[in-house]
Amino acid sequence: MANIAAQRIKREFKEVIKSEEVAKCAIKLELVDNNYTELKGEIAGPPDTPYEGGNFVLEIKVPETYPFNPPKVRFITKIWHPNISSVTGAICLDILKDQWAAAMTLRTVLLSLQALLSAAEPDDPQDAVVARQYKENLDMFKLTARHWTNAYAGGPSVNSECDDKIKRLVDMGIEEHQARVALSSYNWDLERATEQLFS
Amino acid sequence: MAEGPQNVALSLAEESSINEFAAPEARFECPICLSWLRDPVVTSCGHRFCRSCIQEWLLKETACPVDSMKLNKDSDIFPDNFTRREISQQKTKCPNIVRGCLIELSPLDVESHLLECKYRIPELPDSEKLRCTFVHVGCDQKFEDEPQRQQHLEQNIQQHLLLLSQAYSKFTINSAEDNASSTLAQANFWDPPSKHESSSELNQGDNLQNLLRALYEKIVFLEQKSREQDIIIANMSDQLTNFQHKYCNGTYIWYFNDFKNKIRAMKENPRIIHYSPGFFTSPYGYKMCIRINLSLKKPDHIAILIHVMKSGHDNTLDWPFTGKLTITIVHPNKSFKSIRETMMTRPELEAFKQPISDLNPKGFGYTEFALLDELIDADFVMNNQLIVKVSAQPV
Repeated sequence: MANIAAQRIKREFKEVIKSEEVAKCAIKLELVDNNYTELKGEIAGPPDTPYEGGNFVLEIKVPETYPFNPPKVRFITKIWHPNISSVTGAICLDILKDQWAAAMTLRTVLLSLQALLSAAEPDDPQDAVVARQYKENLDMFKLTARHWTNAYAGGPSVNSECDDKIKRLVDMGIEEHQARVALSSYNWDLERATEQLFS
Repeated sequence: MAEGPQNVALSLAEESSINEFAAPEARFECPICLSWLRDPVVTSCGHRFCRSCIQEWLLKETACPVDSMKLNKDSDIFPDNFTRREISQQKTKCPNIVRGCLIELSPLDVESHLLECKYRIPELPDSEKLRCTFVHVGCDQKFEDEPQRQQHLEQNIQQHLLLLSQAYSKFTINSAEDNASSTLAQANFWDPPSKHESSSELNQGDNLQNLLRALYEKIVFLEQKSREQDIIIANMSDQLTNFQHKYCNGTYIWYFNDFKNKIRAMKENPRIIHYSPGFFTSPYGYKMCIRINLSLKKPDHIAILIHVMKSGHDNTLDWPFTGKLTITIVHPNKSFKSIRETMMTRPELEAFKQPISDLNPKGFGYTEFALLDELIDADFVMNNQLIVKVSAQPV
């Protein structure tokens, strides 16, 4: 790795560790390897959003050309959000693409992602299914996102109706995550989800 | 005398560790490499960068990395000699001061000096490095010298506490296992005596571990298996009911349970309708179901109708359905009191055409089949259950 990238990540790492957000447990950063090319980030779901109470783990890969090119970031924790792929965790956020600037840091990236969770942009979607639900049925979107936060990010809000429907599909031999995706995509209509899974 | 210099060294160690990690002041820091400005330049929008950093950025981009103002790489970048002079007046001590290097140098030169500083720590072979004092509970860090170790201990208090508590919980489990080993010794009585008595004693701890692991794996396996069996049984009983409904040859008996509550609910909300499970006139015959609700016009009457349902082999059947339908409300012990009505189908009715949805929305039967009060007075309802029998015979 180019010297400048490693050295900068080293300094940024220290900056994050000492930051007040870490003290408040809002963000977290850990090294995955010793040459500062891969890190693990964590952000807390912002209050008053369906993600509240959840902790979302991120994979951060630092390219050799950092900071002239943005770090590659994706969600490892599964999440239901219009700008984040529910399949791969890929993120659609301008500062991770063409709006990246060399003066940004891992700390500002983590805080931007946290802001993205509070303010989705359904007109620039990464996950078309989620974005459509967000625009057409906001309450259903919130319910689904809250349920995913509970299922994958340790969120507190249990929705027994969702859990029951998933269990019904699991009992038919469907894998749990697959069942959750199908139900989420069809607004928790058990019949349509079943149809899609078995067609 | 022997103690004197050592104390000095320790107090210096703390000082230098603060120096070493102090980032440059913001006005001397390049926002791109986050290090001391090297050959500083200032942009027309008023931001300072190392010359090489901003040049590399502007190879691909056309805006300032800090505020996104448009920058032309030829006309918007100026040398910042003021800052250059300021930085050149900064002096810092070599981090190796703890080992005796007294040189003072510009912060820009620290890195290159460290490579050739004769007081730098010699690269020790792995075996001669200092181990973290918490090595026994699992901290694998190694250090070149004491100050480094000291610093590691200061910075990782939390992590070390965590390791300690983990080690402690393991220890308590182990001592619990020690108690258990006497039970195991008893349990070993029925095993054939070991040929190598001494080695078996040594391995007893291992044996216990293995036994526990094997048992645990077995439990997981059995739980998994029992779960699978549960699912199979549930599926089979579902299928069985389906078969019952399929092989009833058109005569279906519906035990309408929880009668009183359902009637009460229907009185409150006359739109509530109860459907029986679907049944078949023959294994590959017509599928239909019974419907019970309260008559909309005369809510003291119970309505019983028959609906034709969609099934997988509808296309092999003749439509409309023609035949004889008999509806009976069965009296639980006096069969002569049972109310029976027989009707013939009428081909012109929508109710007997091939259903398009799961259930033909039109039904056929009596919207005023019987008076509710009469049913109750004549003891038709036993154990809170009403028995409705339907026989459908195609002709």
